[in-house]
Amino acid sequence: MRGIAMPHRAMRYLAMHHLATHRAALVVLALVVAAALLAPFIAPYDPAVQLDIVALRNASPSIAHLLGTDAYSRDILSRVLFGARTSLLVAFLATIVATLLGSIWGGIAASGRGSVGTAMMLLVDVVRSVPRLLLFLVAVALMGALTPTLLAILLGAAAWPSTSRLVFALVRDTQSRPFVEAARSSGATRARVFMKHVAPHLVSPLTASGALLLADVLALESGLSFIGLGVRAPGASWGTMVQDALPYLGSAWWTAAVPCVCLVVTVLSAAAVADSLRNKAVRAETAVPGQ
Amino acid sequence: MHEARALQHIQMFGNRGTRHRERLGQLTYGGVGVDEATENGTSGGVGEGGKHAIESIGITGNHMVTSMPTLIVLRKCTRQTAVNMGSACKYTVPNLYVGSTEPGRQPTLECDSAGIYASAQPGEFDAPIIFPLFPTIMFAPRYHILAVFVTLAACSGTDSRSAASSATDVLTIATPADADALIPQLVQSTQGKQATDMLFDYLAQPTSTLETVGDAGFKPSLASSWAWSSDSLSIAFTLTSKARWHDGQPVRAADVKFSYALYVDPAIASPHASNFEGIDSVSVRDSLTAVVWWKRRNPEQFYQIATSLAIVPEHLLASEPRATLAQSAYAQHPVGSGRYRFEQWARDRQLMLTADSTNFRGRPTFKRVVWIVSADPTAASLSVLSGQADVLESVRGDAFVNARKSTKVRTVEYGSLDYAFMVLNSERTVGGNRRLFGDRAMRVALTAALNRPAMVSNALDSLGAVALGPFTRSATGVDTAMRQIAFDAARAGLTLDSLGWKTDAVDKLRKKNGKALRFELLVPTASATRLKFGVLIQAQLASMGVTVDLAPLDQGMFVSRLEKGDFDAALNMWRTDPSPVAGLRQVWASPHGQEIGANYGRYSSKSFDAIVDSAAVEFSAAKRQALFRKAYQLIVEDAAGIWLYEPRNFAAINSRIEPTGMRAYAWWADLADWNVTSARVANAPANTAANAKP
Amino acid sequence: MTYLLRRLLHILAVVIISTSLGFFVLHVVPGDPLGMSTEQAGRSAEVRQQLQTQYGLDQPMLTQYAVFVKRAVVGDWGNSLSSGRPVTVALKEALANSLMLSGTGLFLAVVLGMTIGALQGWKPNSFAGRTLGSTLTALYVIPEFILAIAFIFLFAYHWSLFPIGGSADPVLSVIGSATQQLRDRVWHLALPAITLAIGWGAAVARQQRNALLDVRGEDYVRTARAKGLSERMVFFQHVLPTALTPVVVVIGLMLPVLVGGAVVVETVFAWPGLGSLLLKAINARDYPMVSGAIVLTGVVVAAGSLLTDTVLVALNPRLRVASAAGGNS
Repeated sequence: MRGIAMPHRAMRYLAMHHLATHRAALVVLALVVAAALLAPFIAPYDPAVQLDIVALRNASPSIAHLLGTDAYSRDILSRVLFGARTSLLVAFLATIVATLLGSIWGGIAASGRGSVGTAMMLLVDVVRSVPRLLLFLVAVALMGALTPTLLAILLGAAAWPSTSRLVFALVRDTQSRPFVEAARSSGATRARVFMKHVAPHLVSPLTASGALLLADVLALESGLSFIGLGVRAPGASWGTMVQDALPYLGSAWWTAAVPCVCLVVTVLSAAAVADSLRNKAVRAETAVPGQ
Repeated sequence: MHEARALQHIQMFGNRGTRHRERLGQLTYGGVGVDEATENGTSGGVGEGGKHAIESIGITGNHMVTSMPTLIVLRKCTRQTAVNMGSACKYTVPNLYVGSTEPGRQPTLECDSAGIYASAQPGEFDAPIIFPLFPTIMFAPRYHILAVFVTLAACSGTDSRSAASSATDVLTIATPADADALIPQLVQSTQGKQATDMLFDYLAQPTSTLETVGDAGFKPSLASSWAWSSDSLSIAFTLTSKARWHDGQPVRAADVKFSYALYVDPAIASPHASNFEGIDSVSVRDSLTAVVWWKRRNPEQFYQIATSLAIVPEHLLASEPRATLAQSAYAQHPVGSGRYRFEQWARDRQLMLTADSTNFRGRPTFKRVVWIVSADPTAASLSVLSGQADVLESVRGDAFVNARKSTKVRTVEYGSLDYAFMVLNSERTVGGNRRLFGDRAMRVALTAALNRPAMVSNALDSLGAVALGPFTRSATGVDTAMRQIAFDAARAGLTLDSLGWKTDAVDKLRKKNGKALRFELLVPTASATRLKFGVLIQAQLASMGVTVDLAPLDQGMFVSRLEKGDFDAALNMWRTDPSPVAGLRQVWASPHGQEIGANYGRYSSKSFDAIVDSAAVEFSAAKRQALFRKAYQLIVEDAAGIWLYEPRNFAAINSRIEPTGMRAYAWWADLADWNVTSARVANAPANTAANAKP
Repeated sequence: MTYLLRRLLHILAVVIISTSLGFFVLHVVPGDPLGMSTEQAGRSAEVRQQLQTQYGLDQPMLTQYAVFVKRAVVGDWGNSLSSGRPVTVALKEALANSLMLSGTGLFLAVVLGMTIGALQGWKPNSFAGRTLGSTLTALYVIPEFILAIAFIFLFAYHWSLFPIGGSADPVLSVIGSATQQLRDRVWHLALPAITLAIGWGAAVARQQRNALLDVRGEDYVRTARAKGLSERMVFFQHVLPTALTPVVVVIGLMLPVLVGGAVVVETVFAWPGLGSLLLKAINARDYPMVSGAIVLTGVVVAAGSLLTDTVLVALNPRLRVASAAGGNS
């Protein structure tokens, strides 16, 4: 939507602030992705090997093991690196699946006829009413072990109803605004109206929910190992590392703290990057010609 | 009545019958002034300007007066004590807890213009006075007064749960799950069993050493005496005339007959019906004598009837329709003859029993027993460590370490009945080989490939021992020095080679005819320890070139696949009984067609069956032991399963309690008679069997 | 009137479809509610067979479904297969407990989230806004069970400020007066409600912040400012209502959580709510209980949608016209 930009000074402050955090977050995220990609080359040990289950159980950080060892005497640093691969893959893929599915579903439901929209949203409500655990149990019963990719798709499929409801409400709300009416009456096709006038208003709320969805998925992935879904031993993922560490929270807190910190840092930087991408989109829309 | 002044603190004093005062506690709050006029030497003293500490609201001798609207809750006063309290009667009376659960022992409460009097009759008070952890402060607007609860403990011993509740008032047990039912015929969960053992009686109860052969290991309970018939096919139990149901009715032989009928009634579908196999009937000889008839003799007749038959009241249950017994009014409020009565059951939250002080076996130690459902083990252990709960029946890991270090709790070991093992499905095609696990050599090789002591040390620390076989160390006829299959990775490798499973040079996996040696291991997610063992086993076998796929399953799926035989291997656990025969038969006896009992791996050994059958009918205790020893040796050498661990059970118990008679199969057996020492233990108590090597 | 009728039908449809779906799904998953142990001698095969017949579990699935529907319509939801209690009684109790916990948590979350989100969105450079927002998000990311256990460890065990778990003191709930019980309950409620509030508050805050950041640059905001209105009036009267749309939706999405969502917190704090009840029922394959719980969830989910839509229409009256016109675009 074309409008008049905010006062120049305020814009500059906002830009500078975002630039700094943007840079830092981008760097962090890049590091995490690099670590994940390079894991097979930089990990000091095989993440599945149990080095000495009696002597090296929950060993505190040392020269030989920079982040210590876990309850099964596996090197934590190696597991973190390899775990990054699984966790990042699962988390991002699931978030993208959920957001895409939800947006498409909600968008279509809101743009179409009233009855279509109602029926589609009815389906969404139905899926939200059935307990997720039940759906996961069926998945386990039917499919057994899942590869991380399939797991991501399953998680995304579990999360899309909420996104679709959000998109549905937003699209309907935006469509009722005067500028959309104006665009329509000027003869633009439905698709063009949607892409040019409605879609930009979705970016912001979706990035907000996307960041949180990422965090949700990461936490969910660890909880699923309890019903046999999720990453199976000896595979590493940050979520399962946290689960393994739970009984030793008092005596070997670093075994839980390390994957936790990784989770937090990754999600925060992903959220910050998403925010700055969003800001770029907003600024592009609100830029005054000539500035 | 006077104006409010700021106060620093009030010190509470008690009286032990002398004029000596002792400090019992301190309560800090502000906003109220106290003006004391006391007698008998209690020092008064209110500071001007309100900044000074009050000396006391004392009760010394017989009388205490204060015009401050302070409520004194009387407890354990052994003297007639009258307390004159401030005004605002109508605001304070509902919050006054002076009571006794015994009818006829209520103290009188009077209120007049000068104050509230609570006068107690001399003698012991049984009432637990409940003191909220934070003082309840109420404003009575007309007077700008704070009314404060203050409890006086005439006996010392503040426990950490509240400043002044008595040490024997409540026993709080933190339990992981709620009881499923409170009727003995229906109960299945261990929590339900704990409660029903308190609520109901059996004909006889075991002495400290449980001997399952004959009646030497039993002492009278509901039956004051019994007589064997000459052919030993029947026993006549004479009930004690002093036994009463909690509603006052006497316990009769008809109740015994009725209880048995309920157990075996198909409409009830009791899970314990099979315990009564071999019993023909129960008859009533006279109002206090019931006779139990067997079809044939067996060495454990007495044990069978004494531990299986809980007596329920006929006069309350006869009219209930059997099929809906679980929903009946009685099921929500059971009436038994045991040392505890039912008080309250808030499902999934707590179960409360109260002492039956007129029980023929004497008053139990604790006035109340409460089971609090606390599903998360961390939270449960924290509640015991902080003193909010008194008993946690199983502590492991960090919780165990903290409990050992703490002075508030003691850790008490009681024997274990469980052994965990890897079931190998002998009917299954694994790695392209039919009945791979049916081959003893393969089973022995896999056993030898696993470093079981190291795994136990990793997963359980000192809280478990390597299982020696399908039994625990406390079972009959166990020789802990028996021959075991030792950990020998080299030998295991050679055996696998000789069986045709050679290590491929490229991917380091053992293969035979091109197919890798790979199988799926089922693990129930409900058992954290077995999940750990799964991961450990997977890694150890991986180093041998054997691939194990771990399949953690939720309980329903785990059971389903085991029962259907749809598995390669699984980590299972078995709870043994004090009498080994039934358990051994269920899990290891050769299947009869489709009837596998709990023998999911379909293990079959005719010689083993024969030995167990002989032991079952052996009346000589010594010969019985020898037979069991032989049976165990046979099955261990046959590597019927891979024996993993035997958990050591440690309970964390508040250190003011000295538990007695904690049995492996029922740590709560003597709960009603546990000792309470008021003295706080200064150092970590010497834990009884804790230092014994497994 | 027709709108209301349509929405009620919507609720009914959701309930029927989701319950049926749940019914079939639970029966597809292997597991026998009457035989759940491999660790000790249980019921003999004959007894299990007998119980199966008694509960009608040996019938073909469609027959069982028909029986279930027939009974449900008259209000007979059956008894739990695990405990024998009537399903309605158990659900009612658990629901009350859950509502108490989740309702408080949600309320705190909305207050916390909207405040912090507003701070972040309206004054994005303020130190308070930035740090509070980041802290909230960071806490949100930490897996819930770790957060819950950490809270218990710190506030309940170490500093003894709160009880470790449960919803009420056992003895007090029997003997205590109403005031005492109320006080005790609030004390038990505090920690789990705060734990919930953090997670949900983060979601609300995030949506609120983003929405405000967008809206602040729009035309009518400048107009309002130019008219001479104070910052405060601009914020509350012009900006907030528009920016509330995504926030209201997000809150509406959280409503089903009131019913069954706070499983982790309920388990760790031993709060006997619907979340943990449902989890146990699913694990035990307790068909009647699970079906009853799904009905409850379905009603709440659909009612939540209804509520959300109503509030959205109230915020943006143009929607009413749009929906009245059948949503033709």
